[in-house]
Amino acid sequence: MDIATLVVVGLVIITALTFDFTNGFHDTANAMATSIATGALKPKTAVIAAGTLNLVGAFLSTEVAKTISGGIINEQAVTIGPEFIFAGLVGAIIWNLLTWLVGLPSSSSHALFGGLVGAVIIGAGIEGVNFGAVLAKVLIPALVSPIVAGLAAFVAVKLIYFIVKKMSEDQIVNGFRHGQTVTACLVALSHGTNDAQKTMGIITLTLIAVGAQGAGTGPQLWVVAVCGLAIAAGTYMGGWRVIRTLGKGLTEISTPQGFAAEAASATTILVSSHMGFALSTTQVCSGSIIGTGLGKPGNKVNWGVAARMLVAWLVTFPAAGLVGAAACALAKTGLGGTIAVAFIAVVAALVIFRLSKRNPVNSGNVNEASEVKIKPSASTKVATAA
Amino acid sequence: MQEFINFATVLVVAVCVAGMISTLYASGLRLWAAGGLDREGYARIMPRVGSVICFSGCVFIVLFALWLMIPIFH
Repeated sequence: MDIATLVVVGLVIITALTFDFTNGFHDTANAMATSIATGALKPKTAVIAAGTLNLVGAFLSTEVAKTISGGIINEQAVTIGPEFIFAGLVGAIIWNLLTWLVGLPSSSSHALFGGLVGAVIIGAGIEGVNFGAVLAKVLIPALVSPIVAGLAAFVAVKLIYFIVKKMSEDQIVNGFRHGQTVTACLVALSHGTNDAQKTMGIITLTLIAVGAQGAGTGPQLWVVAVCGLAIAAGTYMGGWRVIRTLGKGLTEISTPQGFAAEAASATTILVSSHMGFALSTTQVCSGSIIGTGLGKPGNKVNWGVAARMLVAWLVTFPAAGLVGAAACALAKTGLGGTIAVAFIAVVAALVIFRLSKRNPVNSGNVNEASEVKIKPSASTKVATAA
Repeated sequence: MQEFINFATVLVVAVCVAGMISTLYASGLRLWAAGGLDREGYARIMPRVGSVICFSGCVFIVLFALWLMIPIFH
């Protein structure tokens, strides 16, 4: 392996692990937002539980992706070189960070596919993309997942409130708190068994492509370990901005609603995976929360936030694709271009983190508001000054 | 067409299973609450037994979910 290939492979592995980390902190909200919002779990306890279960999940499942793009890229017609994967990962990471900054849940898988497609179009031409697969695996699931999970959660909440209507408020809150914790943990574990595998697959297929590993072999133990640790660390960091939006921004959630939302999410994810097509955890969980908001009598759903989320889901694929395309255009000029892309990505990430510090959301204030703003409001400024 | 059938299957199964586990858990709580002490200081046995059966159903569903989730089991 020459030095240039070695550098590119090194960059791919680092970028893949960074993507895994952002995937973790972006998706903490899916499992834990409702538990944190209802007080069923303390924020720090929730992210520790989610992080641990993601790590355990990474080791439990050996079902690593056999293809990098899940059929969206025509991998028989186009050879996906390390520089394509690198550019695609950069697109996904930047999109994940941008949506985290504005507190919008979005699918990390769709961002990754979008980034790869953008890179492949620039690097190998439009014939490298299976647009039928884009429709079947990205666009239709983005519209269908929230409806399926939302309907399941709606029915679950209606049934729960019908059954417990003669119980006292204390009995209801305390009773469902325990159930909500279990269902949230199931969602976190299923996330670990699915999402860490994507990065394992990417690293393994990259190592096979450059001849560092035999064709047809599975991920090496160090790959499993670092991917598990990266997603667990990201989950532990807690994407508090997304947690606030899902837990407080969509609707006011009580413990029975939290239980119903997580039960519906876990069921939908497991059933769809078992049927052979994976739905986005983010879209499923968001749909469940909206369903519980509609199901509880007298509850309101903030349709403005829901509409912004829907737009973000539909924009994720092309937006990550644009960044991936731009990154690939620069990366394919050679080793210097690849290093330049890495440098620009690091600068962009630092700028986004800097912007997030203007109005930080953390474990201490996550439940204090329902909106995520980049600029601090007047009351926040006063509180900070005090 | 096959895609549509798959989505419809997921919808029906998800609604049924989420409804079932919610019904079992809520019924378990309701029956447990109804199984408090009577005037003579004895727990009402039938609601308590019903409650335990409902919670056992929930445990079975959770264990089945874990079985589905962990490939080594199947």
